[in-house]
Amino acid sequence: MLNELIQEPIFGITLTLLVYFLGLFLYKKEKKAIFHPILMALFIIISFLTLFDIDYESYNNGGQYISILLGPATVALAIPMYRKITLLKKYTLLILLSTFLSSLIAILLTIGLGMVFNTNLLLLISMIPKSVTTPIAVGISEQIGGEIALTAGAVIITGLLGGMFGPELNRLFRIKSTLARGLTMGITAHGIGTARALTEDEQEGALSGLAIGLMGIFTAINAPIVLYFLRLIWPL
Amino acid sequence: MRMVKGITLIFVFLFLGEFIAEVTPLPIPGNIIGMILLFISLVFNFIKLEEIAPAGDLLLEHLILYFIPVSIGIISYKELLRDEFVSFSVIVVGGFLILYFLISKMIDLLVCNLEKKGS
Repeated sequence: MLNELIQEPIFGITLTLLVYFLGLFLYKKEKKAIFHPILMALFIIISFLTLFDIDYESYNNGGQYISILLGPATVALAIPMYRKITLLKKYTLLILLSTFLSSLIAILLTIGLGMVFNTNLLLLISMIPKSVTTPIAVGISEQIGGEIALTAGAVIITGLLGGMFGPELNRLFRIKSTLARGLTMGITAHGIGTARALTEDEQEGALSGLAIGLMGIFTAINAPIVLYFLRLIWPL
Repeated sequence: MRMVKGITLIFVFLFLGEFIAEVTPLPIPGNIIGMILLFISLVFNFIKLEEIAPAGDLLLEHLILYFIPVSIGIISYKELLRDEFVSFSVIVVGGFLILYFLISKMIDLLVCNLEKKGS
């Protein structure tokens, strides 16, 4: 009886919504990256599934209906980008050049480190879009032959690192300009970093938000191209 | 009604993006093509922000929710992550720190060179 119910989509959907709601509630009380709703959700759902010996497929019978929304959400990312069009017009060259070069550096750095550490290929490919916002990163990962779950994991940890340490790194590396601070946060730590940037400075947050979409677009374009050329000389 | 229109527009753009990704050799995911098309349409005023913003904002408010099920998928990769724990941690954490350093310094330099020459 209970086993059949667990196979129903309603199980995965309800569990996800319940845990997400609980995570949001806790995050409102303790606004720290470590209490981020995504961490709570991952921790609780994984513990729950492990404890009751439920496999991922059963959970995802329902989960997949929630994942479908990643597609339209990516399209909707054009809206916050468009809202910052005046900022983009003011610093067009700087912003486009910075995000374009950053996406190349991020891709090459990940591949380089992966070669040094002789990382498993599937894992390495999955980690390539780790600085990009999750919905776009998932799309890129599918495109280049990665595993979306591994990508999502790397993306979330990266975002949390930015959310926790970004402003401290700015002080450590002596980054003074608002432009550099804001753009770097959005480029390296997507939405989670942007949330932190917004608490530091409004302009920084706006720049960070703008960088998310551009970093996503440039990485989507650059990752397949870089991989294509690398594969000519290296069995990647 | 406004909400329905917005949601419909978003799905039309998503479909268009997926269609273009399917029929052209572009190696870019369809949802990202859809996003670029929507951005262009907003810039050129083919679509007004008020038409799409209420639906889009609602959709984006709970972005985190949508990637929970995908992320839970890592439980199927326990062995891989256990075997690759060191390289995974170094690339994610070390990679983040190196990337943050390189990019913040690079943009700082670009700001000095591009913006201070009296733009």
